Amino acid sequence: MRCDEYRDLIAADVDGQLGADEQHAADSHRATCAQCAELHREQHHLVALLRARAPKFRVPTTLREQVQQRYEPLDRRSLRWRRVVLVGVAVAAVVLVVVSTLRSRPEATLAKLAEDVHEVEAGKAALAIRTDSIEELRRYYRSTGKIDFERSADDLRSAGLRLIGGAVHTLDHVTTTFTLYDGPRGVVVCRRFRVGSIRLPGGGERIGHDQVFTVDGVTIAVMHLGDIVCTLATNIPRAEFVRYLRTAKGM
Amino acid sequence: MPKGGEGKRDHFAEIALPLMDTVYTAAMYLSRNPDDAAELLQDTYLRAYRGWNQFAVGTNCKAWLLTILHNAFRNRYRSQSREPSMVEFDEFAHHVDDQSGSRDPSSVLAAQVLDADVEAALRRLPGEFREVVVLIDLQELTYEEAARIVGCPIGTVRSRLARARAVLQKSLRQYAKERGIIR
Repeated sequence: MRCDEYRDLIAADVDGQLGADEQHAADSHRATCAQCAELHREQHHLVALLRARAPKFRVPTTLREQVQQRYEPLDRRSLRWRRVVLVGVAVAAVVLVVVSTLRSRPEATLAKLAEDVHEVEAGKAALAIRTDSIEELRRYYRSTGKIDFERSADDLRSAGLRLIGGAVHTLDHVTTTFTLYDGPRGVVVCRRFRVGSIRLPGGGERIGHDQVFTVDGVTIAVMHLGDIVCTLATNIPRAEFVRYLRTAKGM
Repeated sequence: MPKGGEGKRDHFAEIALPLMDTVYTAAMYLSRNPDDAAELLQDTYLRAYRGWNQFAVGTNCKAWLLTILHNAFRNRYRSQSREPSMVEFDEFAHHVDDQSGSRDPSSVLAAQVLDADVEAALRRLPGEFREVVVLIDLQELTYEEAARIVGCPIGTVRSRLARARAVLQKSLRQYAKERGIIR
């Protein structure tokens, strides 16, 4: 495949929309062409940027009311304002109850892990240290005095992932590592914490002792490393990421 | 006021009206000004209501409404010849190739550009590029749905999307340069 042919397919490659033969040809081309591989990576980031940052517009109030009045059922129109007040009060009450309940729900914890990826995509993730050295990152985690386990981060180059850096963050009021990796197909956020300190849900797809979930378009793997839990949240397509997991021995 | 029974109104209000912001967002990116977007929104909902019997409940109403929106948009601008023509291929090739001196980590670029830059870059895209970006990257429709809406083969959608993204990347990099974020 020539570069000009690949560049016509690059969007479909980034979006995982190629057929098997084309995908194979695209993978082979990227493996031998650094410029196209870089363009692929840039488009991946661009799509995430567009989805996170392109403004969504709200219909102006007057226009919305015009359209609604035209097409809403007659009984709804007469009741709308009364309903607006009642619904407003009800929503406020429900939000209070739901927020307090969700704080302790394991499913809500998965949603927070998915949010990690969305924040990275939006360029809002805060890293305390930027380094491509696992040893340096582990030293940093030890130096904070907040992470008391040795295996605080691992080298994932065997899975095609480059270390970007890390920070100590909290999750459900528990201190965890927050390690960011980047690869040609997306980003991975790894959190590590002591077993039992944070509740995570059962279920999901089982891969050995590990679990895989998809939440808000983010794939989340939960793995047990002795007395440590390791979560990996990523925007890499699920099937591909599962292949990465199988490849990353000793993770 | 469109004619029709309350049953039709019920369905329409329940399924189509909650998508008004989605349709309006697409209309804003297509038309690039609020007055035209407002007219397109009203036109779309009028046509949708009249054709509601053709909509199969349970299928993708967003894609159906966006199809109507795009038809309305094309009819409007085809007759008025207000939409700029598609970018020439040579220009596109320049966009793709002229990157050697301005390499930057894309994630850094993503962290620094402003939402307004993203919006401006989208607005500057030629119409045929902009519509596939809006449908696939913003509205998250499938390539098949986008191809049906713009009325061209999937291969053309792929190709336009690839070129559109390359132009966007170039524009965003230029904005970042102008702000001194990258060199």
